[in-house]
Amino acid sequence: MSQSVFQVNLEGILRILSESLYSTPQVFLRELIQNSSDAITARKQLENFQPNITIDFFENDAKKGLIFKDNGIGLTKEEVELFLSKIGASSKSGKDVDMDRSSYIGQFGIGMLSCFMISDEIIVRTKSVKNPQESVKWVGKIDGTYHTEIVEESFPECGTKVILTIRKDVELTSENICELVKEYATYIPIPVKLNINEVDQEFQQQSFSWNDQSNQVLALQQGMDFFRERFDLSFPIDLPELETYGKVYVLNRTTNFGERGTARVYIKNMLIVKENAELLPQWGFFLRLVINSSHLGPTASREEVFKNSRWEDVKKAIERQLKTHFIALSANHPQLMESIVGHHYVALKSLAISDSDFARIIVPLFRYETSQGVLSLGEIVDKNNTLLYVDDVEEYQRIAPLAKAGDQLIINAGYIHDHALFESLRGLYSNHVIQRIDAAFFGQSLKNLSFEEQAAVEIGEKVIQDFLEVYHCQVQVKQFEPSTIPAMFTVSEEARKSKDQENIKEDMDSLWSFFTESITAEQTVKPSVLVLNIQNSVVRKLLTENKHRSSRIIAETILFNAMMQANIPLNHAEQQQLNLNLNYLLENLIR
Amino acid sequence: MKIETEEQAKDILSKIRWEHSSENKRIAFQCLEFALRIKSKSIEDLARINYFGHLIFLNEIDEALIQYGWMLNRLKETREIGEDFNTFSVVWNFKWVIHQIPTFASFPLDKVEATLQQFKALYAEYNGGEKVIHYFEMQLRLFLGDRKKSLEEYEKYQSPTISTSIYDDCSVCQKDALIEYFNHLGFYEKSRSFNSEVGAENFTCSEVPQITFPKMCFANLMCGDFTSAAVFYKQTIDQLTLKDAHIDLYYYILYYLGISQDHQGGIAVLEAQLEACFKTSADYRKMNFYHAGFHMCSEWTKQGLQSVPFHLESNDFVQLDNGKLDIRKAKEWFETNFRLHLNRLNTRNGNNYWSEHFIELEKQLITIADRFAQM
Repeated sequence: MSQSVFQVNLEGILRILSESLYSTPQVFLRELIQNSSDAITARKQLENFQPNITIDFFENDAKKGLIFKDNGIGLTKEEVELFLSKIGASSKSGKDVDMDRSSYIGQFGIGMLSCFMISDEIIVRTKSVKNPQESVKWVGKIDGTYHTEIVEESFPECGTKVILTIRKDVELTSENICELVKEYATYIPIPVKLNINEVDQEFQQQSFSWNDQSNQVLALQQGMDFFRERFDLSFPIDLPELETYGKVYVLNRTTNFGERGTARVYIKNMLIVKENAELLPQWGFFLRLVINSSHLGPTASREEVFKNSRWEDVKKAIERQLKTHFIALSANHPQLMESIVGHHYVALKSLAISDSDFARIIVPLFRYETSQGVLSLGEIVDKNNTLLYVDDVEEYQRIAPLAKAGDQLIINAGYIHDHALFESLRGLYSNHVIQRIDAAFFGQSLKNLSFEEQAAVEIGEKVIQDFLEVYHCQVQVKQFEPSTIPAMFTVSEEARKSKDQENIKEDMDSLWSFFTESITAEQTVKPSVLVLNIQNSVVRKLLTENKHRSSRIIAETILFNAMMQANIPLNHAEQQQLNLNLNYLLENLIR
Repeated sequence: MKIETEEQAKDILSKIRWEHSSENKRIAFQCLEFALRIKSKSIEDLARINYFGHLIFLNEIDEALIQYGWMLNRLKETREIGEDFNTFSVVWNFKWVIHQIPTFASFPLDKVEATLQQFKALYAEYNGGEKVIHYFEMQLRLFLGDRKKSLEEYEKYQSPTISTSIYDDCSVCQKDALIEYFNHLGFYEKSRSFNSEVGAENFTCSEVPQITFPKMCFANLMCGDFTSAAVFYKQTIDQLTLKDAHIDLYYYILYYLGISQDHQGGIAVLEAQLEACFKTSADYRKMNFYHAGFHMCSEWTKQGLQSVPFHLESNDFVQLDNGKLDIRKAKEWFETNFRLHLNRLNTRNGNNYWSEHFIELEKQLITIADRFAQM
């Protein structure tokens, strides 16, 4: 049986790889910088020399082109045949490399393809350190053809020169080139020279700020350059065991709900990704991170970091280090920590829920609205053995006036993470009682009537209960301030859901109504309660004079009003009844 | 959280849509109440879908089923007027629903069958293919105690020529479901054949392999491979969050913790999961959990354990004595409640399949426990 070889449409593959692998044509420059960087690394393994990279960009009305030159190890003719002409064969992978693979940034053998995204022809002129007598020229075209030749005229020095004529349809200007070189080459430890139409661009390279920990000014300046934000505070990320170093910056503005902390990741000094949203912990949305790592690896496109166990190790180590920094800051600079808490309490609450060591330090600094003004949790805990909190803002706003009138301290814990945080406080403040309350609980704690008062309203209370039977709520009579509030409607979370389930049953077919009935039949739900306020004049009258038709209407209207105050949506029937009641009352008023 | 405008509600809902938690569930419900107050159908649609997503993730099955009934009707309504109401999501989630329906003994057979027909009709309408139908019917038939029909559906599901669609579960989810199915049939070696695959890096999606580990722990336990069972137990503890309601997963672990005499581990599971048991009326889930609890306590009693410190908010369990749980009383409680739900299921099914299943399981567990004790 004869064997065949796969037929490959190179142009087609080049197009697919170029269009699908890389997000933008401009990545070719990163690939060239990376290749040169790796070539220089390879040459350094063999000998000492002064490395350099030169980028020449030419532009006129007729055409534009780029010459990319390095004095790295270069390629022999065999290597040119092997690595440039065979897609997927990298000089930095497999058994052909007798050097440490981990030194290289690229390992997949497809970087050169990116040049076809901007040029129909790639010319490579190279002389290898391993065979300096031989100068090689390789020309590859987008139609899938190439040729290799030994050039008689010897190239002046070892290294590689890549010559590209940029296609007319490619939007690449000298400004773009300057931006791209700045983006990718600023931090590589190799001098890079950039010329635009033979004019030296004085491109400034620098080292990462964490190489000099004492230079906080440089650190904050780099933070501004990386993230376009002003920072006042940064911490080092120092993970020598994971060959990862960097800086984390603390935003000095409040973040929006849903904003994520992002990380700028360099691998061996080469920018890989500008905004990675997964490296920082979920609570870190008020942070920005920049790292340079030799431990992480890039994906094939080199536009993302490969998510393997190394990634997980680095991620966990960063989180550990962040927590250590915040704990130290609380101990050594409490006022600064208070300011951070003021801006970023949401994130810090989230962290405090999952980390008890951190919670112990940070929780007393959180400030809360209470029925006795805004207080820190530390202040509240110092003065009260019992912490009553309401985990819904609107519920809190309903109860707070009553609590204030009764000189009771209740806490508004209705914002994001508050409920979970307060649940976790029981472990932190084991000598305190930490109690979640709602309107129902509060209703129970309102002042009862005296025996005589209760006797006087007993019949009236029963009449009103009968009026309101159809609405499945209990009626209680209590007394509370302010007297302008006729009633309070208290409903448990379960009762709210139960009401919704009852309402939507009408919108289902008979099969699903059956399931709903069956499920709800097994539930025991505490009924909602209408707590009438005997201090209110309308209620007092209702309780004592309730024989008229209007009494029922008034009772219902008080109920519906109290429900709406509690943000309970009225169903269709309740809405209709309310409209009828208001109509009746207004007609009588006009008369 | 104070919600004041439609834009705000939409913004909040889009941000919490895929971040499932109790807190976000409450926020979704608040958005729903807001929508009902201002009578905005579009916000109500968004809020209910969102709320439903959280309910499923948090395993609040009972309430999720009720919300699904509304969603199905809404899909029909919007289709009639040419609108799209999260069609893919509603159709996709019927799979989860059809998996839950037969677990409620209060749902009579004819209603379960009617739901299955609704499921088939909807999937036919949306070109759901045949594979997904047989995949869920094989599980449904087993819940109904019809092993023969279940295995017939399994054969059909396995057919290489069967039509598939975008509504099929991902490949690893299907394997996870098969492992569970084999466990229920007592085909533990078949489950074990996935041992090396479940540990591999590419055996992953949003829920797998963390939900697979407890199933593998049980399968290996039942084959007497205690080493592998221990490995899968550790992976369960590492990767599943104990405080998340997963009685359908943790009950596997209770068998292991009974035999391996891990009292601390067992108590931690009970303290974290019992409340979830009390909240649902899904008999099948409760039956399994209570049986596993009964078995665990039986083993501990044999080992001489009398009481352990225990904490539970609910009063629905055994009365504690000075903060301690009497293991014998717990065992009795579990047995009573296990039989209650078992009988309800058998009565609904009109057969004794599950009784026979547990008789066989208990014999096997005794053998395994003896083998472990001799190690």
